[in-house]
Amino acid sequence: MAVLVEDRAARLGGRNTLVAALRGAFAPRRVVYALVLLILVAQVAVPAAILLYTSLKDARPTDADYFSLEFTLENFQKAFASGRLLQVTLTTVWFALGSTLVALVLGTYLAWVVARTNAPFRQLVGLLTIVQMAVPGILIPVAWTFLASPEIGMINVAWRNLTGGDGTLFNVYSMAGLILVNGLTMVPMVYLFVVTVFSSMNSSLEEAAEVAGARKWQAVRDISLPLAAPGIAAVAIMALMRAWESFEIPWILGLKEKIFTYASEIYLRTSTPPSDVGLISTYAVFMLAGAVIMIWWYDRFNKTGERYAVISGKNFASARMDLGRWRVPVAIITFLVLVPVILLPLLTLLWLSLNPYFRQPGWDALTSISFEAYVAAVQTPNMVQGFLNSLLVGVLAAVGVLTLSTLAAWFSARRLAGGRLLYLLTSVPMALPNVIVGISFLWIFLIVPLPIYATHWALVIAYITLIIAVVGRLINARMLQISSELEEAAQVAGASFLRAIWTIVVPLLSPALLAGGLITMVMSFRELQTTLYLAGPHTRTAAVVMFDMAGDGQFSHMAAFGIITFAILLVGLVGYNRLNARMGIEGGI
Amino acid sequence: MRTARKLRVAAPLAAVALALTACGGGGGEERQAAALPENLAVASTVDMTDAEYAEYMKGLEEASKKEGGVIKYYFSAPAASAEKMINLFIEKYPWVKLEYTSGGTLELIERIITENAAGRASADVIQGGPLEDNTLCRDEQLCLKYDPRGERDLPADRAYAGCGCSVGDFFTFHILYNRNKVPQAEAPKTLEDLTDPKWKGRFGINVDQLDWFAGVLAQLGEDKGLDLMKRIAANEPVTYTGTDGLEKLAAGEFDVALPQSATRQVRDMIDDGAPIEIVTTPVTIAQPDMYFPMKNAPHPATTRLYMEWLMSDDWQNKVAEAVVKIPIRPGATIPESAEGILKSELFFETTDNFGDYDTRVRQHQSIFITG
Repeated sequence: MAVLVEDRAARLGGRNTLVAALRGAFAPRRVVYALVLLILVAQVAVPAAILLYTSLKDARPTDADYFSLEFTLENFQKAFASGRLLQVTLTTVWFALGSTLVALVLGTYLAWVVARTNAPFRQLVGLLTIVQMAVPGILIPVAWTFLASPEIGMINVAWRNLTGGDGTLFNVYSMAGLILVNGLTMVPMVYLFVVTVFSSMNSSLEEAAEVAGARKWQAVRDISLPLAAPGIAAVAIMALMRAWESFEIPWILGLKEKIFTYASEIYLRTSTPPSDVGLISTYAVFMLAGAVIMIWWYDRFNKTGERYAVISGKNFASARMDLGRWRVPVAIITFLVLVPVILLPLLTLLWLSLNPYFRQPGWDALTSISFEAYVAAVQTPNMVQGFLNSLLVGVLAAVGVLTLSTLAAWFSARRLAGGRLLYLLTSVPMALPNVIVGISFLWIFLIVPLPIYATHWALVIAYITLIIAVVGRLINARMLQISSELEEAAQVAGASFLRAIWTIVVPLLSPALLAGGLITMVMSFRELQTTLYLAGPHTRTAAVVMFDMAGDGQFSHMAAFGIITFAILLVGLVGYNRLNARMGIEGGI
Repeated sequence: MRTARKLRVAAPLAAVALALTACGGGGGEERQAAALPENLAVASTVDMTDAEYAEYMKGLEEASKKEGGVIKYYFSAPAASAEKMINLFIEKYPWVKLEYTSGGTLELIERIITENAAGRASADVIQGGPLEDNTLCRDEQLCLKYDPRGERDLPADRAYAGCGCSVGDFFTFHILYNRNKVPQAEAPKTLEDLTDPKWKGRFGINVDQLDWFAGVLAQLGEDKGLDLMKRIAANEPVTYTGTDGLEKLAAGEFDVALPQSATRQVRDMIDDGAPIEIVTTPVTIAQPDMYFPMKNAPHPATTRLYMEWLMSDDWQNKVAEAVVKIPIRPGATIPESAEGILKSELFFETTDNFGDYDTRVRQHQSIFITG
């Protein structure tokens, strides 16, 4: 440290001014960088290091010989031993690519309609798209079971009644079914990412193309989409990683036809307690390698980041594309897209919640519906506690995630020294399985002599690690669109580094920050696997209460609880949309 | 813009306020196991005289009050079912407070092992089965060897002498069928019936029930049991997990489902009109509900109090009504729906006859899941 200070002093014109040198060494920017780095190392590098280290050990973190210098490749041998790993990996590749494609196409289309066109009811479209996030994750495959099961699915039963045949229109248990359902669940995330990107695009660029003779669709293809490329690339990577580690949908829907993905294979191979952390870590090493490759590719893609900056010191307008005679067809197509994304699953859950067990819609069933499941759901022990805990943890996690993501994105987007390290640290968690995060933090919180275990803080810290990769990509993509000349102008005018970020960058980041906060809140409500390792009797979240219900009983109760959760989160989503509208961000009502 | 400005001021203030709130919230009060006085730290009350037992229980109650009357309960089942039971315990001992930790079996076992390894044991009692017995008691030596008085007159096949637990009740595994799709006369009566080609693809197998699988192998013998399972699997059952099988059976996704336990959940669905019938096979696999007092329990007096109550007449006669399970003590009130079950030959699956856990998992998965 002394050497660094003296070196700096020497470079300050050769005079050994200690105060000036210290002032430079502890410049706000460096202090902030050091703090962010320290926090991210603790949040991310420690669980990742545990993962890598444990994959080479034949001991658990709490064993006496865990820190011995004996390493082994036995876990890797076990991973390959069954011979299924290659087959499962190929299945997962198809599953992940297919889901990502479905989500990208539908999510980008919806974002374009809402942010860039004058389609009717676009505010409602925006709300309905993101409202799917409020449906508890485990209920989506349940709803689709009763929608598209070959034997009892309502769609197939209706098809058979219509055609008089005994065929199946759509089999939800097939690979196509898994891909479609998983892709549909990722549409809101893609939409949120891409709509913030589309919202900030300068329409004068498209107008210039049209003046030069290009048609509207050509302007979209040659101007809008390329400019949105970094954002779309970021969300494609996130969607791919989330599809890769997706568990509920492949497990619940894939079991019947024995379609196993990476996540369900890990579950099968490691279901013997205590958890085989060595084997789980080994599987995760492969995921980490995949994530690093994708991060490297994305980084190369963004090498010339400044050319994607569309928010600059010059004034810009974001006029909508006039669809003309295509307004009504686009509205119809958009509605048809929303049917499988949200309307069908939600209506199915509503139907489930009003019946004691699943029955085909019909007059008899309609005349005997009841609200008993709602009464039972409301009487669920600890329901209010669960919601309040999720709300508290979600808000605190959102503050942490947004602060760390913003600062890391700024250092990275401005290509400052150490920025890429921060970028890497906020990306790595996308490859960390929730089980590893849960077990790592369980161990850390019990070993470290601080009263964190089983408190809200334990969940906040773990959730930041789980969520920062998703939100970090969103904020990074938006940050790339903001030209550095804006905060440079502020600093030239005398503003400090932090003031420039707070008054210039943060307001321009608002759409991404709001979307990131929303994603954090929703994921906090839905997160289960890590929570089961860390929640105590007083910190049970809504997801844990839901998990209890799943073990207890009838789907009607679960569906009712899910509808109640949905209604509560819907209030938050409407608030988010109104806030967007007031801030002039597309997608508001 | 004004809204954005307000947000920039309000957000940090709100975060600080919430952070202060969170500081005071949550648990995190694990402590070292409290030491019980020698006269209370006994391993068994089975051989105590009535007078000795009364004095012991009085001492336990006082010690329980002194340690705060908390019972930290870990169970992989829903809070609703455990709370129903423990609320009856609290009715008898009103100073007791329940702190319930739920989770999957894997997560709970992981937590207990890690907590104890770090010297911060938190659980007083864990409810589970042979898996917990094998892992926590036999492998990790974390269970308290304690025999409550209520175990003294249990028949040998229900006493579970080698377990670091008390078995308070048990439940049984059955074949269920949809009566709208299968006439009673044609319903399968035994597991062997499901190897008939007429059932090909028409029945569901619950892949969560490893205990049932181990129980059948123990009852029939390893070779005969594996052969039966393979012939059942050859009939291409539909695999499902957990509770969604009941809904699918009621909806008609498949005609028959097994193994399902005939507990409150099934009874509730039948009472609601679900077209489900329960078949009791000539030999019924029974799984004991095991209650494990922890050696390092932070509240040892309340823990012992709970174990005594569990095996007492007070609870044994309420099991049927409260949780629709069969009490372990012969002669105690049983659920009306269980009367037919007790006419069959019960075979109890135990830790001793379970077999090697890893082997059973591999066998079960290769037969029914991975193929």
